[in-house]
Amino acid sequence: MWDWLDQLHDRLSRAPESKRRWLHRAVRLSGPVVGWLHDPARTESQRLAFAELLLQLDADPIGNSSPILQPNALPGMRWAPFDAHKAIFVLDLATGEIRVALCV
Amino acid sequence: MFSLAHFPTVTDHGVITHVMVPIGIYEKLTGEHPAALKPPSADDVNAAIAVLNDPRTAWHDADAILQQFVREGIEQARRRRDITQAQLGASVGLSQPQISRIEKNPDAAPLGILRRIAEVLSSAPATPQP
Repeated sequence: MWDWLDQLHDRLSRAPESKRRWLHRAVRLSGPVVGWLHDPARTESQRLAFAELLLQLDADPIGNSSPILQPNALPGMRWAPFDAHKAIFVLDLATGEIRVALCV
Repeated sequence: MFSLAHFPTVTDHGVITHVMVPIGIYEKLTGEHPAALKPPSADDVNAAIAVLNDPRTAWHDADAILQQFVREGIEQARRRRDITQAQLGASVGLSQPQISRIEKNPDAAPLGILRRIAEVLSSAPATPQP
């Protein structure tokens, strides 16, 4: 089982003291995603699983997700599982930016 | 308590090699959720497209959200290990009120302190979750 504390420790060990950002690439969450995360129905383990997913996508968005093959999908649209849920996002291959549109 | 007698099994020369269990029990045993491994439905994808195409959609920096989760994660990890704030503080050379302040606002804490906290929590065994 991936241990977020190991990841945190690794990040802290490698990051310069002045570096305050945890994610290397620009990752943005839509309003619906933020609302989903702060819903009282969410459990701590679900939130931590999402935090783990953010770290995994930050490190390797292609390897840690799958493309969405639906015909009307937007370019770069992908999905990744976390806990019992899925995150649907767009990866901009030119800039590396990730926009997480929805958690279902 | 689970019993093999309740579930279909596959044997090889009299030795049980596979057990078919209900998905709920599989999830409980492994922590995995096979349903989450299925691609999102067309409706879910269409809903995501609508969010992406809507100019009114607000976008938030995930880094700030992640730091909030780490703050909550430090407290949760400490509790899962049955470590009090005072005990954690003693392990890293801080007082209980200082640990309390760090749990409330970890991004205000020096990274060296957070690193020591992560080391202490990483090395302590977690209590199994119910």
